[in-house]
Amino acid sequence: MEINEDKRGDVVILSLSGRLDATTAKTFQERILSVIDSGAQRLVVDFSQLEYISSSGLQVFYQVSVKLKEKGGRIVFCRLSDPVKRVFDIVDMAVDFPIFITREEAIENL
Amino acid sequence: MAFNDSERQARNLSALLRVSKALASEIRLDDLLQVIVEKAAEVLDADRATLFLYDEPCNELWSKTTQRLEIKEIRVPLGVGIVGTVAKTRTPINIPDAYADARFNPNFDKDTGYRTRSILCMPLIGNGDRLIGVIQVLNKKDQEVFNEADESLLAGLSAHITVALERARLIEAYVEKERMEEALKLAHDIQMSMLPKIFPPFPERHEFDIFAAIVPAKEVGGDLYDFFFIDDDHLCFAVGDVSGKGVPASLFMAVTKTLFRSTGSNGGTPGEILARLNAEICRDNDSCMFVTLFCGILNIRTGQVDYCNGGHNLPYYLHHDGVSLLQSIGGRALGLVEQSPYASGRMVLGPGETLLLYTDGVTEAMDSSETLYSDQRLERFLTSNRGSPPRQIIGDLVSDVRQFAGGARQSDDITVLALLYFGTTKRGEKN
Repeated sequence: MEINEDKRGDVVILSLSGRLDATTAKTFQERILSVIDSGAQRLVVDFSQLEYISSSGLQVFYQVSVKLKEKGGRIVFCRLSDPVKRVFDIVDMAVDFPIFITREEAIENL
Repeated sequence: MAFNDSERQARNLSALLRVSKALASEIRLDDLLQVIVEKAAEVLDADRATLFLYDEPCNELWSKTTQRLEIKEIRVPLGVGIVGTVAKTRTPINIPDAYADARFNPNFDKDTGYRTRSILCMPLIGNGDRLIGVIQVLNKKDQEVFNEADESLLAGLSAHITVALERARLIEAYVEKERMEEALKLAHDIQMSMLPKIFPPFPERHEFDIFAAIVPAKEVGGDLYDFFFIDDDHLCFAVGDVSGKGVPASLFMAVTKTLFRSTGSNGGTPGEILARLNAEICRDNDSCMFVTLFCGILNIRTGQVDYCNGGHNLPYYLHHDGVSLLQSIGGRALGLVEQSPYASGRMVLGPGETLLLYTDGVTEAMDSSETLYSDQRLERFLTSNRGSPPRQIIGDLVSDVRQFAGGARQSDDITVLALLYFGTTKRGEKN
């Protein structure tokens, strides 16, 4: 998988592409935790290019949300690809993570 | 002179052959190190030999096998002293008089009471230009110094030593891997033995038929199923899928399975059971592992099924007119948020109707072109096989998924549970 990092003011936007599964989750976890450790408190994740997400991937977001809660930060999602949306619907991710259609909406609601 | 040269060559060749044989027969690294230093000293006519291995993460050389009861570990940074220099420059060094050479560190002599005179030191370079270590022979016997012939002899010997060391390391890594796989297989067997596997599980019950199976992926996974009677009339059943893979997932699955039995046996609605189970799992779950779980309770007298879906794939309801998904009622996956609400839904199974629970190993099975088996295929399969009894429907479904996947590697556990309700009339007939 690939992770692209973008900034809008103090908001960090991570765009994911490829597969976020048991083999790539560890890399992604380290990356996103290092983003948070370097001071980012407001994160947007763009899923438009992500082809697949497994439970190992979901787990990372819950770890991240625990960590951000400690620091008073927030994370929101936007632009879910179809396969991601399907998984998010099954596990009802929307209960724990605000999900938006566009990046702009996501940033406004952070 | 010519005669002497060829005589020496013959002697050296036979020495190399002896060493090569000795090296080939040792596969344990510790024993091999011992053989190497003994043979190197013997062949080179040296008083002693020391082998230093390269510790890549620390960028240091280390040695444990000096002769004469020296067991303390020596560590030398790359570039320091003679062995450090040889390792860094990857060039041999031949020194006739150690104390006249600025690179020589006399501290080792001071510590051990040894008196170093001549040194011949050679780098060991392995496959892919990797530095393996350094071999050093000290004090040529009879007060001589190491000459050019000794250099080429040690160079020849080094090639053999390098091969033997690399092979020993490969074997050690292989044995370690075998051991890991053996342990994983054991873990997996224990895990599977926790699931009810005897069918029919309740031969005296004629109101329903139940069957379940897990087709494990090569890597240990975290799927589970379970069913048991809470009281005479209520059968509790569940299918779950733990996040992630490998040992953590399998341990988490084992914990979940045990907790589910105990919380389920205490009764209540499926929503209450999952709420209690969730609270238990959340405790000390720093890694945010979670389990998606569907839990139902069948009243075997009426066919009523109360259920709660904790973030799992919704089961299929196979009825006379076709197949449909259950209504989504429940809560989030378990293990994530301690105070989560879990609602219970209700449906009624009529005689001849089936509930089919599964994990995403079914729908996400892939063929070699990475096409998914998909919900649509599952639904089509169930529609045309909805009249089959549980054991057959599951057997046929697993075959269908396998046939679809062809030879593609199964990356996730495939778990299916089917519950067919007969109603009480069937029992009446039997009586």
